[in-house]
Amino acid sequence: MIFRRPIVLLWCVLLALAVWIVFARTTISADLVAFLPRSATPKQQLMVDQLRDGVASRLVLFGIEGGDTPRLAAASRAFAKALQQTPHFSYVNNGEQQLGQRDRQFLFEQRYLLSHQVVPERFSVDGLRAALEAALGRLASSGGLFYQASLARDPTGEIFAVIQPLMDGSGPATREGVWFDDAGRRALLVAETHAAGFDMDAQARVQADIRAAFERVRGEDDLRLLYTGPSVFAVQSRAAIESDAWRLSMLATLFVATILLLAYRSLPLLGLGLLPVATGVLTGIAAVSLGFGDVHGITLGFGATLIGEAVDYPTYVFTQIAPGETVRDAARRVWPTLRLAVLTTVFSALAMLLSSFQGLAQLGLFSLSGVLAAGLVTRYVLPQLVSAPRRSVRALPPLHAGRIALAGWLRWTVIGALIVSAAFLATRGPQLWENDLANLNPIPQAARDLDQRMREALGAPDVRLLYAVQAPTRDEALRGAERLASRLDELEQRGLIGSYDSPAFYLPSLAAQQARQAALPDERTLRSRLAEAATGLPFQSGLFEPFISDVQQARNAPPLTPQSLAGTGLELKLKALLSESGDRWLALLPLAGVKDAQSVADASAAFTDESVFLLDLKAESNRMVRDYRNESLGLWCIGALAIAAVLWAGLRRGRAVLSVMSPVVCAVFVTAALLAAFGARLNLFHLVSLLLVLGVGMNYALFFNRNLRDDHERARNVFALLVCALTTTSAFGALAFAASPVLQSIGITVGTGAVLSLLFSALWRPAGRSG
Amino acid sequence: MVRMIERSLCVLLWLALSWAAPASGAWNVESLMDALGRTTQSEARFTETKHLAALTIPLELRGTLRFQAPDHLERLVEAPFEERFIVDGDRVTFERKVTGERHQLSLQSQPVLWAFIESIRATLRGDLATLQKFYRVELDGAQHSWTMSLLPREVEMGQFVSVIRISGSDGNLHTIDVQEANGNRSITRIEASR
Repeated sequence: MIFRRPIVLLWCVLLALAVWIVFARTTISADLVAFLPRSATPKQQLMVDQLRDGVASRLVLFGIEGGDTPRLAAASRAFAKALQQTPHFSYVNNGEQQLGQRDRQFLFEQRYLLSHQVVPERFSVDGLRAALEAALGRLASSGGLFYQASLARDPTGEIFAVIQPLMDGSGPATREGVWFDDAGRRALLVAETHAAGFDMDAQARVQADIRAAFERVRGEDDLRLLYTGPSVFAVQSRAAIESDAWRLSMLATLFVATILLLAYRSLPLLGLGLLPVATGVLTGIAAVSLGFGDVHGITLGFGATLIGEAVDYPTYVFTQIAPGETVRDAARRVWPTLRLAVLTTVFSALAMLLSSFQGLAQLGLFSLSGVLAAGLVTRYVLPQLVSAPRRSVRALPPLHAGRIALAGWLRWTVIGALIVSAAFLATRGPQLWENDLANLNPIPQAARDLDQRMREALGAPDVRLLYAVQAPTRDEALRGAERLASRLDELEQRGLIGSYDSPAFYLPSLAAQQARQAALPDERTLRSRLAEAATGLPFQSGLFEPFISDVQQARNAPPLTPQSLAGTGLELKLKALLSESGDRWLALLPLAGVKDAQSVADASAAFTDESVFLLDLKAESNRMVRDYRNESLGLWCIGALAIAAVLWAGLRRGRAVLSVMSPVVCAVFVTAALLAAFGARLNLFHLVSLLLVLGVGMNYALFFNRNLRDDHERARNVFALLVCALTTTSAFGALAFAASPVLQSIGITVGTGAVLSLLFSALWRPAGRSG
Repeated sequence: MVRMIERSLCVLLWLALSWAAPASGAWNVESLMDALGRTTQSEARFTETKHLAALTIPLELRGTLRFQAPDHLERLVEAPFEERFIVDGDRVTFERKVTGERHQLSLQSQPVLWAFIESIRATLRGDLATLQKFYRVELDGAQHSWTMSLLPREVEMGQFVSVIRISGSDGNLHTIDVQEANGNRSITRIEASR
């Protein structure tokens, strides 16, 4: 019957649509990087790409512990084999092979094209003489035993020039032939997944197979597997956030429902009271899903925030029903104030929607659409569903204005708190802000510590510092990398960097390969120069025939292309360091063994420009966090102004606007000061939460400022505010117990801010006066 | 009666004990290891002569060999060039003055090198178990002049080395003769320890 009413029907259709979008079309993402903007400076874009699907994002580090060394070593071997048999990994290394057999063979065969030592002088008589003398020394040396085999083919020792840069960087200690940590209690492995780090579903499957593989390897033994890496974090934190979001939303709903049941004394009213929230949450998720493609877990966390705000709307209506009044009458009577309450929140969310930080924009859209939907349902749908409550809603005894009049001077305590807080915040200076992107991560500290320890033990690249060369073609990118290499050799000699990697080590540019081929003499010339160079040296005659034929073969060989590396482990390294993005090619040269990033940055100022630049991922991400925070501060101000404008439009009196805004703004400052005083560094999420405080707090202030007809209405108004304050506090109290630091900081901030807003509104405008 | 049984038991016990101990003067691998293991620190000059198929003349190196029990070994070449080869536990450091090369690697990650190092280090330590892990150990001669042959067990090592013959007297090493699989041969003569 009620479905015949057009507005109810429309609501049902829209709700069904939202439910369909939420449950059939929405994917939830969780890694913070996916939350980052896709449109920034080219440098930041590159950084975000690296964080999203660079090599580092695909690495998974493993530790096996809980046995003696031989048992762990055996488990490491078996586990590495088991991982290789899954389809997930492009390579798995447990220290058994630094360079595979195929890689060594490729490097040896292509040594004349790959070695940077191949220049004309090296194949002159003097150059050859020096090389032969060096070869003699190498033969005599302690490592000579291993060199003899290749002497005849490679007297100039080209293979050493090729392998040296690839072997740089000290790996972990080896025991029983596999990697171990220093204490020898943990076998270490590292693997790279095919799937990009941000591909949550793929990574979740990878991790399920990792656990299954280990179970088979472990057998009856009491071994433990630890694994870590950006993709592991992403999957785990998605699970944590999802469970947090659902669990805490349920908990909050339970609290709120209990309070409302006590207030309404009616199950149907309670059910109806939850309709606007439910509609709001579903609409919010559906809107974000439509607008952004996926919904971030953190956005979902704000679903609980919406409960706190939107659950108040029907409360304002139901608790205000005067005896004999219908719900429709009450809704109509409360609507001007309620409308302002909804609009202020909508406009503060609108400011967030403008943010170029994708995460904030999601939150903005979520709050905006959710609150709007909840407000409209409260006003237009609820009165259609129920005419009047069978039992009257609980109420306070009539309040005589004088009985609860508060002293006027209390207002000054609020202003005092504002001044103290503002002064305190000002003294904190830059200390006030959190700049480290890592600290925003919704990952428990213990997991980050483990990751740090394993990373250090494995010497895995933490790729904090890398050079990037951008060029229109692959070959030009490689040439850029080669030009850069000479500068980096300099930095290496000065001890500023330990070593570096370059795609040109694996695939030299065409020009470099051709120059090297041109440096190789023809057979007759080489033979005669070699004879002259070997005069007086004790080499058997005819010993170097294989060398002469290898050089001739290299002279006429077709140049190396990426396909030449197919099937070797080097192919993967090349892919990681040389990639095409859009119409540009990008060569990456990661640095290792950097003690002081700043001095490297200073030293490279001379040879970096638009297309060759040093990328400090940490500094860059921190700068980005700072930029977006500053932008958010600006948006915060715009939001506050928008709210003031809405209030002006609704209240039409400057004094009224002031008495609504002031206590809430004071509450925001005092909340920020309290957070800082308890040691929190304010981050983006705090800022967003404070914007929400502004929205929720404004509702209280608005209702405190309503024109009231009599003591009964005054009593109902105070009762409504008390119920709202209780529900809001319990909703955010639940969020404060979240395991995820982000959700926790949202809960604490909004909870504190809401309570303070209510308190300050009460103090600011003593209830005894009427507007 | 009881006293007699006690006395004969004592005699039996004495007899049993003397059976278990090696007859004094018998020379075997265990007693060689025992003698070698008594020296915990040693330093000696060495001369290595390498006969290589690729070269028309043998190469000769001179330097110092140092050992500190249980697992520190230094081979310092002084002529004709300077080179330091230091093994400490699992860590190998190799430095060549001429080329400025410096390498550090884990011994256990290089099975062939490891086997080679232990032929000297485990011998100096008197550690038969380690030697037998890599080699079949055979002993010839007498206490005052013995030769121990080490035959590689692993195929990988066998590709490089056929046999290592170490000879000496009592607990002292005199020569290390490495016969390589490709026919090359290197003989290290160790002068009396300082």
